[in-house]
Amino acid sequence: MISAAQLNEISQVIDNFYSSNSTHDTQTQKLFQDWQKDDIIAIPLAIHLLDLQNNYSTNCKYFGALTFTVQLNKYLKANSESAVVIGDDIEYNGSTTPDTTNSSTDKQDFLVDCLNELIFQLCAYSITYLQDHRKNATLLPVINKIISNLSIIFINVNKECLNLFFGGLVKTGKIGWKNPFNSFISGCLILMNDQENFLNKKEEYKKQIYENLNTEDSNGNLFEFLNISMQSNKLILSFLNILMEEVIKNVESFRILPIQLSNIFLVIKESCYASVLTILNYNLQIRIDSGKESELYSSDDLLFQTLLSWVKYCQTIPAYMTEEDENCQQGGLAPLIFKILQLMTCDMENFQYTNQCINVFYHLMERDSINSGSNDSGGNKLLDYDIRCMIELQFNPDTPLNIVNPEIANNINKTWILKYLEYLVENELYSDDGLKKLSIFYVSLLENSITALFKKIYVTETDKIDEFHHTIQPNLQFLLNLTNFPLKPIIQETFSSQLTNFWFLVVEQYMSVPIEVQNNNLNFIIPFFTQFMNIYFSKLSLSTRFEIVKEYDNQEVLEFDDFRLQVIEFFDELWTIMGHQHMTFVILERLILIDPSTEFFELEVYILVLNGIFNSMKFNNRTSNMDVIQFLSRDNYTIINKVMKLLKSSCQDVSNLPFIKTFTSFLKTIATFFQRKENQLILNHLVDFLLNIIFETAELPFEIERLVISCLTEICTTCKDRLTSYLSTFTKVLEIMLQIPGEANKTISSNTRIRFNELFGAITSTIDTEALISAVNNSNESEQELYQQLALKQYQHIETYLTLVNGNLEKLNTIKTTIPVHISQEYSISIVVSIENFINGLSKCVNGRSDGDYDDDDDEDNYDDSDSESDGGNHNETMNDTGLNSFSLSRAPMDVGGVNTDNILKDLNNTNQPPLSGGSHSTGSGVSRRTGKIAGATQNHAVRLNNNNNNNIATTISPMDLKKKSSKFMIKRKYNEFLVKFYNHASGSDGVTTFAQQLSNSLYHIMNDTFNLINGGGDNLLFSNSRFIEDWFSCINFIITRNKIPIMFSVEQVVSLLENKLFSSAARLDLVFPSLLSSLKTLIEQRELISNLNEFNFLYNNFILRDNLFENVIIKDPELLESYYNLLTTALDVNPRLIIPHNDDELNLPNFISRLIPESFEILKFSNERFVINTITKFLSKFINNKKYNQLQSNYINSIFIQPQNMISYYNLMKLLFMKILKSSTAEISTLSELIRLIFNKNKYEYKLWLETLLLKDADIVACCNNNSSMISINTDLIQRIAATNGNKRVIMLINDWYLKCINLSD
Amino acid sequence: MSLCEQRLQEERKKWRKDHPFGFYAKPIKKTDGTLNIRHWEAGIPGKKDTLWAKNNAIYPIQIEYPADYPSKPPKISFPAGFYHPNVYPSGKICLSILNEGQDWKPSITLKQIVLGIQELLNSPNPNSPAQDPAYRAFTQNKQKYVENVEKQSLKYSKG
Repeated sequence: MISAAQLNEISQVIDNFYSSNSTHDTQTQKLFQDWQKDDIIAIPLAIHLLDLQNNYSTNCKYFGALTFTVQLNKYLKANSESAVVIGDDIEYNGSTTPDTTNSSTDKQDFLVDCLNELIFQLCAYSITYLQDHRKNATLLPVINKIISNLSIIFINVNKECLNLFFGGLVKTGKIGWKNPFNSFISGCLILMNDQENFLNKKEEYKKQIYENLNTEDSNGNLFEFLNISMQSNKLILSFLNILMEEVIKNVESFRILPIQLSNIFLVIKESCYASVLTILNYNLQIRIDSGKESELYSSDDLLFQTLLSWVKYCQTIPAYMTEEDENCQQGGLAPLIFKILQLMTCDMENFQYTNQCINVFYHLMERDSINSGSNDSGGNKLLDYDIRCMIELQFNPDTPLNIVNPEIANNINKTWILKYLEYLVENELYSDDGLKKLSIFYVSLLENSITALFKKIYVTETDKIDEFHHTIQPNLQFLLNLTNFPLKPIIQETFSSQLTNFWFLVVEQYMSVPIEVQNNNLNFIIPFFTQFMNIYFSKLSLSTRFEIVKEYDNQEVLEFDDFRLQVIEFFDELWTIMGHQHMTFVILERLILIDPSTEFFELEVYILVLNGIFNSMKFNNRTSNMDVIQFLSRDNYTIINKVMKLLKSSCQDVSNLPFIKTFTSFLKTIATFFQRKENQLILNHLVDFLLNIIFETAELPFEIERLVISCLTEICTTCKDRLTSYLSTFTKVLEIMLQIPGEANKTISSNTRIRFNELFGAITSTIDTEALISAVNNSNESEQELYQQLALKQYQHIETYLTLVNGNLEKLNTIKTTIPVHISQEYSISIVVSIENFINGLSKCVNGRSDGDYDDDDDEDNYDDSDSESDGGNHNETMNDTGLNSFSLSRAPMDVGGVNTDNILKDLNNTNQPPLSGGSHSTGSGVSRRTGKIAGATQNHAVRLNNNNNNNIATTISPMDLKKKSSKFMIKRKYNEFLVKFYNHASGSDGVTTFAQQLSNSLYHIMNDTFNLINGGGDNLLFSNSRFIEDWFSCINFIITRNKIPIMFSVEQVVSLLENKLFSSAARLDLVFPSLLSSLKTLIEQRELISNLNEFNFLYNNFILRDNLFENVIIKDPELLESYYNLLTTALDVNPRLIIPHNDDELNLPNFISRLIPESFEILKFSNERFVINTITKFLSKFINNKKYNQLQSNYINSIFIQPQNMISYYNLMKLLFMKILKSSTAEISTLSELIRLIFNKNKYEYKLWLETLLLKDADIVACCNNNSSMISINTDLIQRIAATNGNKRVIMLINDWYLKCINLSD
Repeated sequence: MSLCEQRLQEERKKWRKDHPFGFYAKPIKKTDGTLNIRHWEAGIPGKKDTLWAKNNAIYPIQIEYPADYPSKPPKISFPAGFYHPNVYPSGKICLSILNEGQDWKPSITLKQIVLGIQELLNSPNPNSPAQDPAYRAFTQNKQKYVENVEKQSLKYSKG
């Protein structure tokens, strides 16, 4: 027993711990746990602390109640047969049958004792609280904790139907604890009769209360108790709420078996259901009757919380009830729904309880149970069809549901929902307590009726069309009106975002009905969705986003951005109904009229939506509707000019990024529009404009610069053919771009520099086809002379580029001590990447043409029928709007190769066509045939592509067009053939040699200078160092792989760059090696560069063996080893001749095999690195078994390995592999086994003997097997099984099984 | 409509109704404008406050649903060469929930998948490397790894 002094001490510790200045130390918490878990003192301590006569603090009393919880958990856990009953940390243990053993009896005794004590304490506390609820309000947490304990007991008594009244006897029928509310009320009423003295007669009243535990309430005690006061009502509500929460908690955590849950549900159904309905109905009714009585407010939250608990409980039941039981549960919620609806609508002035009632309906609807098994004719488990209709009608007065009971419709006030909406809007109740909750509820509500809606949309018989007009139209209109309040989405209303999915479904459904039904409804649908678009246009405005950024959290910003994305996707879907006519053209029309100075938010939204549509239809000259193209050109490209104007003004501030994103994205989307011949001036203007932004905007934020340069790159690479005349301008820009930081007036980011280099490369390599054709047809000079001029002109730009790069690098070298190392280094890196991008742009285009590819761009000819020069003057006027005066980058006159191209080709039909010469694929007759064939097929036919909605993507290809196209194509091809010759023969120009030389020098300069810088920069630059190396080699690899015009490096040049210059530079070889190996691999993969043993030997000796690099560097680094063996495997794979002598002459050449193979054996033997083991094994596999070997090579390999007694032999390799397997992890086994299998496969006659020798006699293997006698039989078994495989793939599996057996033995 | 298509329509509805902010996912359109319900494109933002969220990057993935989906998992891939220890050079993602032999269950939704991939981005599994460069950098040279991921984020930046 605990002494009084100890108890006082304990209570003091508790009070101190919970006092405001307590540190809540863990030591005290541990002490508390020890007390609460103690088998001897815990319960007496809890009873003592709870005793109201002892006058302990509320904290001590609560501690007493909590101690009961701990003890209940502990005992139930210890005595649980089926599952851990309460403990949060333990789950159901899988046992299924509760038994009736002694432990159960012990448990029952314990539960009875606790119940006996706690029910008395609950009644005692409740009476004390009711005596003076203000003074004793602090007792409520203790009361709730006691209720929680009693709920645990209720669940555990009833889950096994324990008989509480015959100690020792269990399972005597379904007895359990029937109605805890009655028990509680009856106990309270007993104590009420002796309010002054009941504490002094505790044992007497305890007994009496317990005896009345299962007494039925025949005298209306419940009603009497509820009517005592609001506090008594509150106590009983709390009991109901806590009990339901405990049951649900048990269900959700799977602590109780389904059959046990069923027991609990049945007790509640049979004994508690009436009480529950009485409690809830009583509480709802007094609120309906009392109006604004403030006394009720204090328990409003509790009531609705209890309703939610009950709803959740009712939704939980079906899954655990038998069919028979379910019938008893019919209408579980129905009686309450009437009352809740009544309460929800009774106050039309302040809508006092509406939101809370909606919350209950929301929880009711969001669970599947309301839909499951139900259909329009009823059959729902919780709510019958009529009740569902009532709810639906209340919120959706024009519901498509069939209302079969006319009384329902008569009882519903259809204007109520509109009044409620007005109330919410007028009072700005936007949050969870108002509009937001309502919109979320609608999502669930509409799911109930959407099937009915779709059935009615899908009216195939035209005579039922009235149904559509009478039911669907008003309903859709009503739902759209929900969003049509002048409120901002996300922050004020969420109908527009929440219902997007609903509208998606409506559109999808509508589009799935037969076309004739669609057409019947167009008179409604088109205006309806036009109205829809207008509403949503304003919702999408970035003005809302700016407000959110200013006043709300990031979460709301994300929500709004997501909303915009969703709506854009929806508009794309909606386009299938509206088409160009009702959507695209409407937006374009508005864009033409809009004033960008005042309506910039609107303009952004239109562009955003338009961009979505264009993106979706993959806007290009071929597929775009001509009307769309014309809209974009209308009024001197007013739409594009407006976009540019707003883009320019937005670039001042990074907060405008969303604007800039929309506008740049749009310009990128319509890039092919600028490719059109007639749009040359606006293209020039746009390019000037974008450059202007990059160079003239003071302190242009990086994010904006990135978007603008990305836009510029897209426009320029798409329209490269139209920008060749711009090269001299771009060269000037390039000069600025390449300036060394600190020297330049304008800071250029690496990203911009790199991207610009790419577009410069692209344009450099491009020819102006129109000009070329014009020159060929109109000039007096010979065709070859013209080509020569043009090629030289192109080459000059490449030369200019390299001169610029080299000049800047030299300058960097002289001033590098005056600028910070990191700036210099970053600049160098960006130059390397820039060069790579320049080459990328250059080579893609030139080589594409040299192959004679048919170019998509040629298709623009299909539309080139307008006079592009007719309105040139007006273009200039428009351009001034965007203020380009400050930075003049206007294009140079159009000329190519000195040829004036202002006179565009007049008539290619009049065939001044040059004779087609040379090449198997370009004969004149061939072209004529092809042209004739296409022309014949299309003669007198217009190809008209028509979609369902008559939104035409129309194009007409005439024979004349085809002829023009063919001529153009042929001239291009001829020029490309000329280019190949030009770059391949020094006689044409010293272009290739010079270019390669210059590029090589540039790369060397960068490498050397940068390494000098890095070496002086200390270890902190180590990483940037390696990144630079990677970029540098990436550029080298890029050059090697694109070894085509105009970048023709000879292998000597590459090797010289790598070998001489790299090794003579200040580069640290250990850092360079990984990338160097990768470059060598690339060289080998380019078959034409390295082709024989000698050449590979040269590489091997100079890069691998030089200065003992293998021993000093490669072998010490697993990553390098891996790369090294990958290189060798690649060589064997690409061309085995690089390593293995290919003919008799080569047999006498020096090679490194005699070194390579023993070395590989050694490395394999000692390496534990997974990647290394795998790589060497793969190399050896390729070395031994290579399908590309000729007979001589196969013999050569066999001669190396065939003698078992040699150190290098198949036998020894097999032994090494088996030993490796025994020491390896499972990850490597399949690779190792595969090599063993290859050995078997190659030596089908020998391998069995080798295996027997190895596995049964070899001393090393036997030692490896720990002389285990079982190993002998396992090994013998393996030999026999393998012998039966004949070296097939099964060997791998057998070795794997063998390995597992060996592992088990060693375990 | 096949079971696969039914399920995918359902997935599409579910996604519209409930998807994590910043992600996108939609079936791609065929050239004739109709949807290819078995081929989706999606975007995964880097998890907030992580390396992968730098530059507001959204990492694109392609989702191919096999005809026997949901019995079999979708094939999901980043663009080829994507830098991550658990992404193969081809772009295929090495994630147990996408592996039929491992944790794939027909009940797994697109939302769970994309969230799983987002989680994987910042929490690679070094026990299941799928590519060498990112794996080695991740295990041996974190600084290099971080810089490469940042460089990649720039590539997939959405402003």
